Amino acid sequence: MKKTGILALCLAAALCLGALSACSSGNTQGDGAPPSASSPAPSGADSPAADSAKVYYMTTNFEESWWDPALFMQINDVSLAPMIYETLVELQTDGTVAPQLAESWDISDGGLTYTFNLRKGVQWHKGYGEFTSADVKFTLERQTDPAVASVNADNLNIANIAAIECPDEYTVVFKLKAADVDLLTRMSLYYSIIVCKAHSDKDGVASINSDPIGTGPFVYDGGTLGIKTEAVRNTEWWGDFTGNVDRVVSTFMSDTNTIYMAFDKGELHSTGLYDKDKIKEYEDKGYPVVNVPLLQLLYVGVNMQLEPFDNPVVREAFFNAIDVQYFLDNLYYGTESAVGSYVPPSSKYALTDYFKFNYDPERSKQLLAEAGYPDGVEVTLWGASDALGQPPAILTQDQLGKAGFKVNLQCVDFGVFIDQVRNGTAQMWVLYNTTGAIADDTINRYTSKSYPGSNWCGVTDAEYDALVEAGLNAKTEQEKYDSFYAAQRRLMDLQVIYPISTFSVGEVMQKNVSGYKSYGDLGFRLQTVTIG
Amino acid sequence: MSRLLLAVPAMLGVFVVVFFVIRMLPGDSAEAMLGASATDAQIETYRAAHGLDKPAPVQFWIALKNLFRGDLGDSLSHYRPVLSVVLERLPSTIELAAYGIVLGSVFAVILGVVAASFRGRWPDLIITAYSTFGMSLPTFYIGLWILMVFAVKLDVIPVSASAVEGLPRWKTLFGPVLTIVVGGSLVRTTRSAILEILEEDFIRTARAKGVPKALILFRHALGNALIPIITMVGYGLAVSFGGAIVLETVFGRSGVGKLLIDAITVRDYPLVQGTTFVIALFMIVANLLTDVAAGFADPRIRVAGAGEL
Repeated sequence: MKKTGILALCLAAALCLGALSACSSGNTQGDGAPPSASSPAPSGADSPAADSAKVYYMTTNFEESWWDPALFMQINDVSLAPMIYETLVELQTDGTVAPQLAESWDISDGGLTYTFNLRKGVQWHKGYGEFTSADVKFTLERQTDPAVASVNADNLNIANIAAIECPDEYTVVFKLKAADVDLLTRMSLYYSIIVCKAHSDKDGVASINSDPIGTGPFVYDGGTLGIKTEAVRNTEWWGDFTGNVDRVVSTFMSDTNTIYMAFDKGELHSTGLYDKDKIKEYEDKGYPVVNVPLLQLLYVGVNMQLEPFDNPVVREAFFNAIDVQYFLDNLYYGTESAVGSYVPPSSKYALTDYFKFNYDPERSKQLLAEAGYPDGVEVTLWGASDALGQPPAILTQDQLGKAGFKVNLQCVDFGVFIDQVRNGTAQMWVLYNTTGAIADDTINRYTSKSYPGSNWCGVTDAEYDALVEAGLNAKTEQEKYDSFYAAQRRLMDLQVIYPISTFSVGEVMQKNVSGYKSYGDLGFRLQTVTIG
Repeated sequence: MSRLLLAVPAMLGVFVVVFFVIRMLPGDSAEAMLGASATDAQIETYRAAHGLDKPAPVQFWIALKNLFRGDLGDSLSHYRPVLSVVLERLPSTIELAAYGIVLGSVFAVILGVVAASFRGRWPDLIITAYSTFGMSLPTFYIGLWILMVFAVKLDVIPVSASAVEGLPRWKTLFGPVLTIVVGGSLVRTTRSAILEILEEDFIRTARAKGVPKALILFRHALGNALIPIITMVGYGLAVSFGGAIVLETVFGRSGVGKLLIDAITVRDYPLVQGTTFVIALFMIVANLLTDVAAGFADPRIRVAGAGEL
């Protein structure tokens, strides 16, 4: 018994350690990447990196999953992507576009022909040759390939491009079916990131998703998405590299407390924070903070096809029941300022000054009585049960409760939440909604043709439909502004979406980091950043 | 051998149950993946591209055929084979589970033996209080405190082992393994098992014959208390494969536990199936190891098992 008992313990230990050594030999983090003893570890202001290569350590708090830009839902889907990839033109913070891979362009034929003159001598990473017009044609045409499963064909308005012609290696011509006043902006966003045709031809189309090849200031240098990815400075980059970062390491960390501790200890050079109190704490300590307004907006929506919100008087009561300032004062997460429409102000075509909130709970109760609910009305409010969804849902319940609404709050898993709202069974919900840099998607979703479906509010209004249609077919930018502004006023008058606040992230940096520059597409880039 | 054969229908059962249960959850993979801002056209494109527009029985038949070819399908959220995504994260989970279980078990057994041998006196009280404290605290809380003390205050380890390069392995594992050790329940199991054995007649006889106390404790008492200890260790090993989510979150490790939770959140059906399949496989292996170890600890189990055959 005694010998066999000890033998049993030894066996168990040996089996465990055997499995261990088989799985993790030569791998410090167990992430598939060999440890680099020569790489300097970060320690913030006193980084040893000061003596050798400058390594920038950053983090992402959501699971990164793919490299193929055709699958991106936003520019920062992969934290290193904005530094690896480039587009034809670059979106500036004022909404204008500047040359990037295209040095210049001409618009002719009444806005139906766009001719881009491409930059010469731009080299693809890792020796895939020179960037040419064939790459542009390949990038856009693959968006319609079912095998690519691109989710961005609509954003690109690809159906409106009749032909893409390449008269020579440095010229590409888009022939449009109808004028598209936002084509240049579309060419500056994540869904028109140019990918390398030679890479796809040589290594197969799937290689775009596993080994990103771009023309940007940093070259992908290995790692695993969702764990850790790395990139090194592109010494052949065509642009003006004014910073001193030689290498960038992006690590996935999901716990905010861990991120705070890692930043405090100097293991990270920067991190994006949403917690307003924490951001202020860092500001007070003298850390540089760059406020980045996101394309998100917190709103409370109702479905006007369902009782009691099919009654305009109840909707008016709802609009009197919410105090925006209460949210701004009590939500610590990302909320910034009141907004004037259901389109966030950082999005093109946002109406910023129409809606003025008017908090009057007594008036709300009166209106409910007029609508036949003298003792108040029962409604179910849906929210996501995550850190972003639950707090505003609770505040909304509290607000509505003071104004005659008896709110049954349902905070559920995000997938369940989306399903409830999308299938048209949710009376009311609260959500941080994301709009594209061009507001077409959000404005278009409330048209009759999107109900049922993405038109969660059940808006079937002929006037709104006509205004949106006019905006989408506008021949000039001003026409589009006029139509889209009118459409937003119309929807706000229907009182189905109560916009509460913008949403922003505070990019907090170590004190020895300088030179950070904001970009119109909200991409995080390091070519201008200096450490030390 | 029979246990190994029984594992085949068990694994198949796991696959079938998970396939249908995950699809019974409210919510839709395309909606959850693409988010609130997705347009109808984007959702339709996504569904068609991933075969989600096909009826569930058709999807099941395709998945089953793929399984028998050793293919767990493609992840909807990673656009890559499920197996490659799981295998990327598996080493981290195995490493954590193995070190945690081995070191945690050794530490807990020593404490349990000491507590039992000083029953009712101050070492026992301290160890019992420590054990109760460790079991009562949530794992994430213990983890954060360990980070606060050892990473921030004492600067012995990094906060995020995966962010810092060139570290010795012990530094990458110190925090999560210590969390397992502190939070382990094996101390109480060991103490109870040994106390029970110490009441047996053969222990009294050994004492009467003047056998040294240490020999009684570690040879006679511990040897006979090994069955419940091994069972608990095996259980801990099995649970650690699927339950490492908290440790992975706090210590910034990307393992199978976090992968599974993320896959459920976005309704990545093939990845949920693949991850649970691999976790189930490890649970079966852990149970087999437990049985084999228990057989070595008590030959009567082996004899009984052989008799059943």
